This record gives sequence, structure tokens and C-alpha cells, in this order.
Amino acid sequence: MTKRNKMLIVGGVALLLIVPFVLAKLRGGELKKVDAQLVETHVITPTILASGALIYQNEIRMVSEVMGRVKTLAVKEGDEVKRGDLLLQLDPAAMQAQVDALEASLQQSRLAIDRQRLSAESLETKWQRYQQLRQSGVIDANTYDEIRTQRDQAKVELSSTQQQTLQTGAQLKQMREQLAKTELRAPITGRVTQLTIKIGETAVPSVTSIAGSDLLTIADTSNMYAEVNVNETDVARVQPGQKAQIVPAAFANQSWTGTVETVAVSPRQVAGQGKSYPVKIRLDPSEKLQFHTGMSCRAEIETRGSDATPVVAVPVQSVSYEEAKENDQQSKASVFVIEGGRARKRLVETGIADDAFIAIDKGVAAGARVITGPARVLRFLKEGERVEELPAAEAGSVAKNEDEKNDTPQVWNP
Amino acid sequence: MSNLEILQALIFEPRKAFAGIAERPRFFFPLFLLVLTTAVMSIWYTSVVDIAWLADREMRHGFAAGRLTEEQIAVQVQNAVDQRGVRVAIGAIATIFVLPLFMLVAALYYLLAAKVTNVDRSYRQWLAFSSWTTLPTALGIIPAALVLLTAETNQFGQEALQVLSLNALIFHRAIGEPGFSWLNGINLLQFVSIYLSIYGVKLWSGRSWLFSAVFILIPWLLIYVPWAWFSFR
Repeated sequence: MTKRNKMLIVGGVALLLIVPFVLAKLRGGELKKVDAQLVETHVITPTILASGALIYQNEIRMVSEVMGRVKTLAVKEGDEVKRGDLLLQLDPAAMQAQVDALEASLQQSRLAIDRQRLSAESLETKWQRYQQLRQSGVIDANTYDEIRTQRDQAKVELSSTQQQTLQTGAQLKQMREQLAKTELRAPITGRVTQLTIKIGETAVPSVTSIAGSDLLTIADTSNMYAEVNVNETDVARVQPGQKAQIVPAAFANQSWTGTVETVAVSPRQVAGQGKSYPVKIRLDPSEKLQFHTGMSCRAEIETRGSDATPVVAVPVQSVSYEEAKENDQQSKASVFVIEGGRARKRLVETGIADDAFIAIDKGVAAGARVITGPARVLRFLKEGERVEELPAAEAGSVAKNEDEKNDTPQVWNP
Repeated sequence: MSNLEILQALIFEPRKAFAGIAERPRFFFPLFLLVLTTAVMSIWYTSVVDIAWLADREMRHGFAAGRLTEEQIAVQVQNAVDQRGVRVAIGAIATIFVLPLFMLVAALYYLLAAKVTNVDRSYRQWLAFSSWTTLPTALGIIPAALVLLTAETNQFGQEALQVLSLNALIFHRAIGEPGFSWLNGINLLQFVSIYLSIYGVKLWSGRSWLFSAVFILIPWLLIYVPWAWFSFR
């Protein structure tokens, strides 16, 4: 083979190897497809999460003050009652008998008073007469002393009977009160939320939960509350008047708005768990929905101040953190922005955050396009890499701000 | 003929090369070159690539794609980072054993096919034949090395080294798309190797081009046709 032919072959092989490489270089590497958003100002709404249960504003557990067999039940569970309505009646027979006996005893005491008064008056008159006779020397001293003693005794017996009458009167009053307590009446207007006693069972006055001590529970359903337990590390940021979103376990896809009403002063400690402080959140009334007291719920309390101003913020998923290399250093936060079709890394200082956005104090200005995802791309993104921004319709990023969220806050109405 | 003379003849005068191989069948030199170039590229690539990125990519697009949770993927990625050295070693060792085994199997096919078609050559000759005719594929190390030397990032798959593949030249399929693996598995140097093989069989058998093409292409079809079916599903 001639040298020229050999050179041609070598040149051909070289072209075969080099040209595809050059073409590949010109085409460039595979573009990473990313989601991006414009950096804007947002009002950051930090929230605190807490869980608890739904309760009524006022819930009264009715217990009996007297012992007795339940004779009639005027209500059933779920009934609406007004203040003063009869709820149940205990058998009054035994107490009525005691009242009658005391009334008779009182009457007898009064008759005894009358009798003793007459006797005392009679002896007084007799004593006055004997006194004159004594002065005249008609009767002896013995006889005079005798009548005087009888007079004094009559006065003492009268006084004693009068005191006994008062005592009997007080007993009668007490027994009448006990008798009145055999009729249980509604102390508030509300709904019977629990009825544990039945006709024929014996109501027992007791402060401990034994059979027969709890009769029923009446709740004021005009307002419903969520009582949630806020961790001691978060409770300092919770103030009355703050808004909250309540999500009952039974309606996991809906939320209701409420307002923080009270923050407990004393903590509640559960064995094995940290301290927490009960916070009562009043739900805003609205459409009628089926809620039951005791339903589990979670609350998201918005702790931002009423004068919060918009700040430069980025979606939380766009911020990456590098671990501190030494113990005394803080972890570094950074974001990637798109400039000239390439990803540029920017170190940032972050501020407060909520579920969607995190404030940027330094490092990125409004107007930049920050890369928000996908997470698996963002994790391996490098400075200077060529990127292609996905159209918004294809992007899987979260809504830009709270107004675009799908779940609309709802409220509760009894 | 020496090894270098055969090598030179293979490029410029293949007829002389095949005559020299038939006369004195030697396979160690081309096999050594093939193993060396492949092992070097494997070690080089595995040493420079972002191993975490690569492992993540393999978990999401490999055989277990779609069946792993994010947590499981993260664990596998961390394992890959911790065991990069092991991965490098395994790649090199696999090359040392797999390539020669491939040559032995190829030579066995040639021997059996020759027996059936009355082509009188020994197993050693066929082993030398398969080693020398596969040697052109080692030239792929040149563009692959250029890619590694000029890469702007260390996040690229092994397919990025195959600039002569059908996918890199024509189709540009992305990972996960139908045909990605198959199109990356076929490159221009293989066609050179196939041509040399067909020509070599023609010379050794004295038969027609058609006979020689069928002789050589049967195992390629047996591998690449099913592969294409799986790859394009």
C-alpha cells in the first residue's frame, strides 16, 4: 500500500475518532431540567403546630347531691335543653317522708311552746300572787320558794322548747332542700352530650367516678373550642388573639379558622413526654357541621405579629444547607439562581420561615429566578451547570403563595 | 509476523494480517490491549465521576427503578460513596475476567460454526481471530479520554464516553427513554470490527461475502435483537 493511501486511512481513522467527540462537545452535555420561581416579597407567617381535641365552651358534668333511685328521665342524649328544664327526677318518697315527719315534729314543738307559755304565764301570775301573800306573811318561805322555782323551771322549759323548735325548723329546711335536689334541672342552656344514668339505677353523690355518680353532661354548644397542647419551647410565642387553622381528624382535608383565646399559665406534664401548655382556640362560627366533643384535632397557630411587613423570601425547598465543617461554625445556607442558562450558587442568610417560604436577609434580591426543584436534581446541582427551566404547567413546584393553596379555610357552626 | 506487524497490517493490509494470524495464531497481545484500555477507562471514570450522583441515577433508572423509597435510595447512595474504592476495583477485576471469557466464548462459536460449515481452523486460530478483530474497539479509548479530560462537570453517565455510539451520533435518547441502552450499545468501531471479521472469514473459508456475513452476524443478531426488544418496550 502506498504511503499516501496509508495517510488517508490514518486520517480517516483520526476523523472517525475526533469528529464525533467535537460534535458531542458542541452539542453540550444533557441539560438539567429544573423548576424555578421569581424571588418576590412575601409576608412570612410562622406557625406552631400543636395537637389536642375539640371541646365545647362550657361543659358541665352533672352529679347528684343526694342518693336516690332514678324515677323519671326527661331527656335523652343529644337533646337541647334550656336553663331550668327538668332533666331527671329521683324517687322522693323517702325524703318526702322525712320532710313530713319533720313538719309534724315542728308542729308538735310549736304546740309544746304554746302549752309551756301558758304554763309559764300561769305560774308567773301565781308567783306574783304568792309574792304579795309572802309580804303579808300569809305563806311561809318554803311555799314561796317552791312556786318561784316552778315559775323559773317553766321559763327554762319554754326556752328549751323554743330552741328545739328552731332546730327542727332548720332540719326541715335542710330536708326540703334535699327533697328539691331530687329534681335535677339544667343549670345552663345547651345540649345533653352524655347520659350515663338510666331509670331504676341509683344515683350516688360522689366526687370520684364510681357507678351512679355521673348522671349526665350538658354542654353549651354555642361555641366550640380546640384545646391543644403547645410545647413549652413554643408557648412563649403564642398570644391571645392570634389566628389559627384547625384540622379535625375526622375531616383531614378541611381546615377551620379560629382565634386563640387563652393560654394556660400552668403546664401539663404527661409521663414520658415533655411539658406542654393547654391553649384554647375559639372556632369561628359558620356553616353547620357535625362535630363531637373530644374529637382529635391539630392546630396551626399563626404567630406573626399584626404589623408584619413583606420580606424577600424564597420557597423553603430551594434552600440547601451545608454542614458546618467545624464545631463552632454554623451550617451554610445557599440557593441556586438561573443566570444566562446556568445555575449560579448564592450563599444566603435566612430569617424566619413558614411552611412555604423562608425569608432571605442577605444573598439574593427580588427579581432573581431561584431554582426550586426537583429535589433530586437540586441535590446534585453544581455551580455553573447548564439548566433548562421547565414551563410552569410542567413544573411540580408548590403554589407561589398562600392564596393559591387548594384547601380553603372553613369555619364551624353549631 | 510480529504483533506490531499484524497490528499494522490489520489497518492497512488486512489480508496479510489474517494470513499471519492463521500461520501463527497469537491472542495475548490484542487481548491484553483490550483488557488494558477497558480497565483504564473503567478505573478512570469511576474515580472521577460524582459517585453519589451516579448511584442516585442508577437507583432511579436501573432494575429497581420505581420500587425503592427515597430513604432506600439515600442509603444506597451513601453506600456507594463509602465504597467507591471497592467499585473501582470490582470494575477493573471484572474487565480482566469478563473480556477474556467473552473471547473464549466467541472463539468457541466460531469453531462450532466452522465445523458445521467445513471451515478447517483450530480453536487457537479462532481465539486469535476474535481477539484481533475485536481490537479496533479499543480505539474508543481516545475519544473517551478526551471526554474525561474536557468534562465541565463530573456528573455524566458512562454513555457520555461513547461518543461513537448510535445514540450519541444520531438519536440522543435520554436515560429512561426507550432504546437508550441499545442505542448506546452500538458504536461505529463495532461496525469496523464486524467488517474485519466478515473479511477474515471470507479469507479463511474461501467462501462468498454472504456466507461470511451470515457466519459472523448470527451471534450479533442473537444478542442484539432480543436486547432491542427489551430496550424499546
